[in-house]
Amino acid sequence: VSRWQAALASPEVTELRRRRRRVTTVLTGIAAAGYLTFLGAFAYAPDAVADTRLAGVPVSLWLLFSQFVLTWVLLAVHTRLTRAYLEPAQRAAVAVVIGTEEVRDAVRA
Amino acid sequence: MRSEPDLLAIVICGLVVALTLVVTFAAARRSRTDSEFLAAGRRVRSWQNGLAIAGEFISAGSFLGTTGLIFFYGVDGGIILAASVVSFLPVLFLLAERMRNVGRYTLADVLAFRTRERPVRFVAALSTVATGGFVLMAQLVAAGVLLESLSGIPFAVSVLVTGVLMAVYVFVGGMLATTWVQVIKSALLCVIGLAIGIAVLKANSFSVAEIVGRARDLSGEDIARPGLLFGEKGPLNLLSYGLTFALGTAGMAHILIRFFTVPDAQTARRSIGWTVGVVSGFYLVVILMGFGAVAILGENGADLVGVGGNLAAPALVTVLGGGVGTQGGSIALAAVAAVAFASIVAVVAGVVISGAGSLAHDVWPHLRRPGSTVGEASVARVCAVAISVLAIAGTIAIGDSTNITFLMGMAFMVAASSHLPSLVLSMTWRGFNTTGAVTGILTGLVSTVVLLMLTPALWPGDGPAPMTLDLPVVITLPLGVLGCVLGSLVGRRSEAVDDERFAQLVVRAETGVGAEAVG
Repeated sequence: VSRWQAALASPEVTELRRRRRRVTTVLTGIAAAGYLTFLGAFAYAPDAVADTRLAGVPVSLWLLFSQFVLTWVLLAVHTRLTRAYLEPAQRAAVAVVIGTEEVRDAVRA
Repeated sequence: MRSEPDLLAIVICGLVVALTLVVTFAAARRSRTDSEFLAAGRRVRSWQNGLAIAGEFISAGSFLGTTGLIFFYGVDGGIILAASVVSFLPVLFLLAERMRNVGRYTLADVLAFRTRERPVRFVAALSTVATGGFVLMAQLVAAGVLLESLSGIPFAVSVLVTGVLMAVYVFVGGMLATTWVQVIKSALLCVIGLAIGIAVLKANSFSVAEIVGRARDLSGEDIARPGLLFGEKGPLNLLSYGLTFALGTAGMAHILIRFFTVPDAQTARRSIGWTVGVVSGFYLVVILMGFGAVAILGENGADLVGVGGNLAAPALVTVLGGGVGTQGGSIALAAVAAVAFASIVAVVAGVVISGAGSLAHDVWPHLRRPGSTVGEASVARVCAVAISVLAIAGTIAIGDSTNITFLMGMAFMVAASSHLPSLVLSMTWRGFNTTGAVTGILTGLVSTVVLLMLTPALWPGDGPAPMTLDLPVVITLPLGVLGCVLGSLVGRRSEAVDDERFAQLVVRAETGVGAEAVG
């Protein structure tokens, strides 16, 4: 096992990858579900979303706006998760990777 | 169409051009080395990069054209706006930080990290230039048509002026000048967008319900009913259209290379926040403008907005400014013309530096004679001029009747079908290799061009087109993924997996250790 493979196999990098995979999978899933729901409603229930109103505005328009809100919310959640959940693991992983003498030399080179 | 040039619009456009040229020549002093010319020395801050990405992304067509789409087709016209905003989530979740950590100047840096460089870089450059070519032609056609409509400058002159400007920005100031041109454009968009949004709301008692209510009274109940634009071709057409624009951004070379201009992955991630803020805020104004145009222009609106609806926004702001012939109306119209012009030059400059950078960094090193001392920045300058000349000539040759929606759709489809699958798989799948990269990119590119030729818009034969989908990304994206996977499986017989290089790629992507330094 060579230097980068050793770094990749370290518990810190493994933990970082696990955390990032979890964050990415969950947030991507929510984004995809929200977006496909929006497209599905437009494709399969045009009359319902046009004729139903909330606060005087058709649901079709609310669905359009919902994609903007969904993006803002997921962006905020991602930022928060990155700071609180990913960055501590990343700092630990960087310390281990840089701490590996051979990797440090390779990076310098 | 105007028959006489609008002097005020030309003067305001001239002021914007003067400002961008001052910035460009100021940037020239800091665009000498390859890193400075192609990546702005990696010193761009998050807010600058965020605004630059927004400036790169929001085309004149996306606000003038989409306002017209909403005017004619109601909520269906807004789908592209929602898709565009959502499209930055895959960029954020999958690519932004990893690209910054792994890449240097081009997409091929990431794709070729653990594959054989020459074939992968050549194919990636071909795909990048092809995608950029579609965007360039679309934007230059839009420049010609819109400037002719808004300021009275003839089509060919408008294309020539825009094309020369984009060449000057890139040739003189490289990525730094391009960045600042895009920042200026985004700032203009924010100011003008805010003013228009407030004006539309003020004219309707600051009530969205009233805007929509008036629009329904004037245009009919169907304006809020999905289906006016996509209803006839069925749900799959809508799904494919929506996916094209939601996923295409994550494969657009001229967007992704912007992450190489920042100092680190954290800044790359923060950039997206700024971008989403500007893009989503402006697109909300576009939705207001679309429904506002119906509500405010009244029963004669259809005559004012032109056949394609591209003049809906100019007609609306003229009325909001006080009407045709008034000073306020003229100033408002001139401001929109300036924003449209700034939008176009900002987009095309970004596309030109992306294509020129790819040719200089991915192709040139494999073609030059041994011992050649010509740097990549110098080659990129020459390529920028060559690309600009070809784009100007091509655009004037195809003329103003070209359907720019399909040129843009083609670019988004190639990006979603060839770049996105290969980029994601290259950073996540151990078994990905040279054959997979080449096959995947070519499959996405060729299938997009071929299938688009079978769509109703481009079908050259007699009778109905074989393909009923407008933008068949639901077919080309899986084909692109399949190309990557099957190619990699076939290629593994001749190319062993380099586990050490894969480990280096993953560790570098995740941690930033070994990433390109500032300067």
